[in-house]
Amino acid sequence: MNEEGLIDLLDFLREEGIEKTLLDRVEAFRKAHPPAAGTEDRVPVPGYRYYGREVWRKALTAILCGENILLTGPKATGKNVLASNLAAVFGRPAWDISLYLNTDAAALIGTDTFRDGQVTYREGPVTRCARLGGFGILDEINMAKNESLAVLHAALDFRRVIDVPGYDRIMLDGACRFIGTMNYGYAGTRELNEALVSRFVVIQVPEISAENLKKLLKKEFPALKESWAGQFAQLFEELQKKCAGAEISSRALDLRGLLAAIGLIEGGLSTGEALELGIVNKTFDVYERELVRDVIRARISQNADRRKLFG
Amino acid sequence: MEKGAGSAAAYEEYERRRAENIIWNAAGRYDFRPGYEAFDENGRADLYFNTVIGAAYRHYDFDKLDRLFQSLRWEPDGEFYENLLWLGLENGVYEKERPARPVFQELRRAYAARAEEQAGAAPDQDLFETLRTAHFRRALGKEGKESRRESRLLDALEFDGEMDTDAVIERMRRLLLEFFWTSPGYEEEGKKKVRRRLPRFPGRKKFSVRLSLRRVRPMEADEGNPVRNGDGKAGEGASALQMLFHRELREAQVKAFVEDCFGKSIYSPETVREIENRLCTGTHRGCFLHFTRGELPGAQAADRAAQVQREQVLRQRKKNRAYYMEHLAENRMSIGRLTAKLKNSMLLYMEYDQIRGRSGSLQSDRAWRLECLSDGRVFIRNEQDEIGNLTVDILLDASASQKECQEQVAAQAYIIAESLTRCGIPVKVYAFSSVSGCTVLHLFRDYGEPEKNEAVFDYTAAGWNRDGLALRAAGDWIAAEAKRGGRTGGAAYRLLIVLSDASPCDDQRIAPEKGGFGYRGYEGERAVQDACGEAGRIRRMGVRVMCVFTGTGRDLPAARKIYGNEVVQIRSADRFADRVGEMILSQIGSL
Repeated sequence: MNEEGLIDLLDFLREEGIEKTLLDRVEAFRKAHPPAAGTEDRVPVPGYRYYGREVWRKALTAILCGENILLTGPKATGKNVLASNLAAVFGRPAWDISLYLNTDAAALIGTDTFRDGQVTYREGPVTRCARLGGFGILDEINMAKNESLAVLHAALDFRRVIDVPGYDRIMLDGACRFIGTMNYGYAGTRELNEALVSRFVVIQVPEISAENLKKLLKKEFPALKESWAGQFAQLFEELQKKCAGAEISSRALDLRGLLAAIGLIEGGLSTGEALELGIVNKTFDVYERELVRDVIRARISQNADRRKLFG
Repeated sequence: MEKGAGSAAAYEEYERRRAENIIWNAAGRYDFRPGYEAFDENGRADLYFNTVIGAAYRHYDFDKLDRLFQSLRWEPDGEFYENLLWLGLENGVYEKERPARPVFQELRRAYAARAEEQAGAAPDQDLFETLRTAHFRRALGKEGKESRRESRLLDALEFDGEMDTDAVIERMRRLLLEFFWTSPGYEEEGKKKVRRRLPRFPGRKKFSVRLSLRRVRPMEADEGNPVRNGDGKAGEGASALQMLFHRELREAQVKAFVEDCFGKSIYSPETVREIENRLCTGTHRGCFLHFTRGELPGAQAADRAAQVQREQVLRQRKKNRAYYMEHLAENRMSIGRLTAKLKNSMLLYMEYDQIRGRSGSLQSDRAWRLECLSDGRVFIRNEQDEIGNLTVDILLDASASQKECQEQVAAQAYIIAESLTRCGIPVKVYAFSSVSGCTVLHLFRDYGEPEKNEAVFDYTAAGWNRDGLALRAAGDWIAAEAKRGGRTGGAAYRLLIVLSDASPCDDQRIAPEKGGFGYRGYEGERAVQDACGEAGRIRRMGVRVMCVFTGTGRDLPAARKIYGNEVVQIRSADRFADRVGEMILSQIGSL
């Protein structure tokens, strides 16, 4: 991320109401830990901003205090956006490590391979991140088996070390942090064991409020009229409630889908068509689709177009 | 959903759920059952008016309004007044909601245009139609065709957005008094109620209701059911089945009766005889077996008792389906959740195969191949293999002890069957009960019949439960399947889950041993011992037998005796699917 992007992000944080002292400490951290040579292009340039002062305060403070963070919350709360924003504001190269059921220790810390007639060690994303002082974003951490994650225990606690069997011990760079994200109770997830959870500070990421969503929409689509941004934010809030009421699954509760739909409207589709693509069709159950469609029709005119929405 | 996509009842239920969802959405909360729902002329949930109803919950103190509605309902022309009040509320809600929901204007105009179109097609309008048409013509900015008196009434009825609940109630009371000379008994203040007939508006019929609003009433409880077992205990109550208990019927009569009540046999008489010769021995000597899929023969049963029972079965089937549809959203969510859990566990416990490759963990004993043979495949890595084959049999106790929770059991069994189907786990679901010495096994869906999950809704509870014989028959089915081979027959892991209250009891007494004397009742410790023996026999076949226990604490020791530690207790049938899910997950974990 270039200097201009950073200033922009810091300005955003000031507008969000983050205290100057905290931002000064962030600046000091950046100065003390410039990205290692060759990793500059790994410093994220966030596509979206995370809105939520309290969560920002907690996360910045935790990272400054040397803690690893576990971000937990329902779908579409912006956990990954926040992780990426944190890497950007601290100027750290980020490694996105998507965890899934078959992730094993080798996929995280590396494995033997054969190169030029020699058996060599190929670094995994976690070891590389540790060595180069990056932010390792362990996405959907509760998708992986606890046995696979046990290899991270020494890296995440006070020892800050990764011992690769048969090779060296890798000491974690002082700027290295791990940020886990998880959606508790999400289909296909499991309980994290206590040993792992105790190595993180846990931040509950709340559902995005209609007000913050409106800000996000205005930021992403500056030409979107205020009143329409408000209606889309309300629509998303209504879908959140329907989902919490267990009347629909979380498939249609798709913030990325809503942003994509507004992008499609800007690109020329009608509101009805765009929301059908971005939200309604995310669920494949006919009954559920109808319920989602009802929520949309009761909030958004189906035939509005970009001339009406953008001005 | 198109009307033709399902039965009329399912369509109606589906639209009712839609209406509720629209109302909840507009109300901004999901913790109440709406008292009114709106449907269009095709029976489809009306988006605009249901949103109005929901928004009325949001903007007004609906408890107060509800008391007014209730008092109106007691008036001679109550339904007319209720609709009149809704017409007034529509205006108030529209004005209150519009600033926050700009699309409301568009929805209202579309609704008003439809109302006007309908009015045009019906020239001879009654008073309510006239008011409704005039009201929505005003919404469209058009002149009304109503009389001056009607226009005055409508002026009074158009509640504005500034009015709160009390103001609306006060206005409505004044309006009723002024135009209809009536004062409903809302919040009686010791006043004598004025109760008069609706005055005639010139040229208008008295009233009719064309707002297509439906007042939601609680479901009638089991009306007209001639065969009820009050406390749900086996064999009690004035049951048609009980009439049989006291008759001495020969085998042919019993089987004819059972077939009339429960459905045709799936086997020929010769096959049934052969099965009975093998299974109806020892403790079960003299008993009969009947295997059915619930297909009822002919339109009418042969005798009255069977006809009464058959009608009850048909009624229960409808109730099971209605219950499932009523809880459609949560049932679908349960299916989704259970499916995801099962799939996840299946992936988790898949067996690993070690594959040689060019990367992974170095196998030092093969390292020489690098230099000598230029073979780089000296590494191994883990790859997942298919999960070991698993089949699940679900045996449901369908004796009268389950009578109080038939709908829940059927819905939960459907959730399990559907979830297992989605995971590709073969499942067989059947129920057992016993009538006049004949143990009936009702097969709902077999392993290779994923399309037949809905047959589970045919579950009906009646009669006694001879658990030992039912388990013996279930074991026989499993053994026959194993002999047949194939995917399900050759399954390495089998699971039999029994829904039971562990209180076996049958009116067919245990015949004396050859040379012995006296019949003994099939109940208590003796029956438990018998069921225990049969469960053990199935376990020795390599089948894991588990029990979802629905009984009381008094029978828990019996359940433990029959099924050992493989017992989980549920307090309510609603937990059936969850507990079965956990059992299957634990089974997958131990594969």
